[in-house]
Amino acid sequence: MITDLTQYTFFTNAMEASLLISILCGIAGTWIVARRLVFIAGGITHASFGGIGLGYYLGINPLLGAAAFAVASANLMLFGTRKGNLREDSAIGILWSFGMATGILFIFLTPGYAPNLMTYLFGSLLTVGTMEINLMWILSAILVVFFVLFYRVILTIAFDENHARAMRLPVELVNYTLMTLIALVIVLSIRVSGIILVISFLTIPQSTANLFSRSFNHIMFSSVAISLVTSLTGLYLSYWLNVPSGATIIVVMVIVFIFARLMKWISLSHFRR
Amino acid sequence: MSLKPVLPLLKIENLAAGYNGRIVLHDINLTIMANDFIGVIGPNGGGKTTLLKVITGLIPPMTGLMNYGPLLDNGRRIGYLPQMHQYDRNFPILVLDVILSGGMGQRKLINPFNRTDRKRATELMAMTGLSHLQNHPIGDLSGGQAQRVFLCRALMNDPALLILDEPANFVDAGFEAELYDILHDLNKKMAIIMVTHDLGIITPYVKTIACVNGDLHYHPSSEITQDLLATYSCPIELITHGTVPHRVLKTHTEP
Repeated sequence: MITDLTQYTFFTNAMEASLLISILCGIAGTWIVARRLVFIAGGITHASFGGIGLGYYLGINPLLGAAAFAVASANLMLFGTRKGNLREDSAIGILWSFGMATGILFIFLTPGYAPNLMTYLFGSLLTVGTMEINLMWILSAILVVFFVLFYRVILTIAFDENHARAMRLPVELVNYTLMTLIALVIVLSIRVSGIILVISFLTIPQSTANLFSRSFNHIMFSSVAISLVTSLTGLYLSYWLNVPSGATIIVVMVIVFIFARLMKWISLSHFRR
Repeated sequence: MSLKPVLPLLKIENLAAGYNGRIVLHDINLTIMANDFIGVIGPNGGGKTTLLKVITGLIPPMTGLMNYGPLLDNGRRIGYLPQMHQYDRNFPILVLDVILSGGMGQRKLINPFNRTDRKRATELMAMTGLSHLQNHPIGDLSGGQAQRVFLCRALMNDPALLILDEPANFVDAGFEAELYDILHDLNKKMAIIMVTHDLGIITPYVKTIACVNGDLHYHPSSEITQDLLATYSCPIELITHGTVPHRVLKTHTEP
């Protein structure tokens, strides 16, 4: 069965994209979960839909529009909550709905062909193209190099921003750089897992890993591994069952999380006895 | 006595500071010399923590001057132990990593730690009795154990000035006595400035007292009386002196 499927370019592309989204979201998600920024990530994801609509309206690549909207909204949220005395959850709510609204308006105003919104809302792993895969390779390389080089700085700032500031570390520079990288991770992941499901790649593998470890780099490595195994499993399952791949992957991820949670519960109650 | 001119670690002149345009501290003058041990007392909301934040450089002065001496290396050789409640217990980080992070201020940003740093972290953990916990997540520790971790973190960069904000809060009584002994030893190598509610206990270690209540009154000895405090409008419950450290409890209301 496996050799059958790998004959098709669309399927090998999908496998490659699964690997890349696992690396991207495994690393980025660990930072997001540790810093409790999951809903900021959700806000960035939905705000980028406005950019997708704008892309169609202007006749440019929707990914480009999405990247512009995502990076702008990520940095605006960071800036607004720090300097503008804006409450974080309110800022997220505003950008979240504004992005979706402008996206729908732009797509409605675009003359002629109406793009399939479902692709962007739920993703389409099987139609990922070579250009997107190349972009994901480049971003993965940047993200991995950034985290390897600056791991200690990132960890120090993420754990205790005030203390890092007292030590004269470049707190703002690191935060804005990370937010920008995360916005780009989200945009490239949207093509694979869709706006609605991208948050699962950023949170479910990390939460599963977090059950067994509370060390930042262990969670990072395990999240990439869990994400890769579950997305490949989901990919094959979706082919056999003839159902959408993105949604299948999420269901597999959640089943693994519940299974891991039960395992931990059983092993803990076993040791207590 | 040495005839070499002794440079202060830190000099604050006519400084005012606060948040969002609201002045919390005004007319602050303070000079910190090497081997000082300054106890900072004063009522809640009087600006004690604000003073510490100004010294660490977390908030800029609104007016006035604050100059670091050469020994402080532009504030990089300050060890800071913030008040207890400011960390996320669920953050995925190990004890050893928290302690190492205290050395970041003086290191290059890429691959900052070498064997010497790890050795220093190991020594600090041994000193504070944390060795067996080094690979535990910070969230597993009790309040007192976590406070030891943050003390080690503050000491990682070999500070010339150690700043402590209510270090004895949430600490078990056993460690409290131990903590003051450790501070007494550390004071031979570094200046210490410590905010405390409980000056009575530590009077034998503190050398001078600063009373912060909007402004700052510096008392160049730890000999201080209730009358003196009243003049400084500095309400504090009790201060005593003795040849041995001792604790005086409130009188019983019922006979």
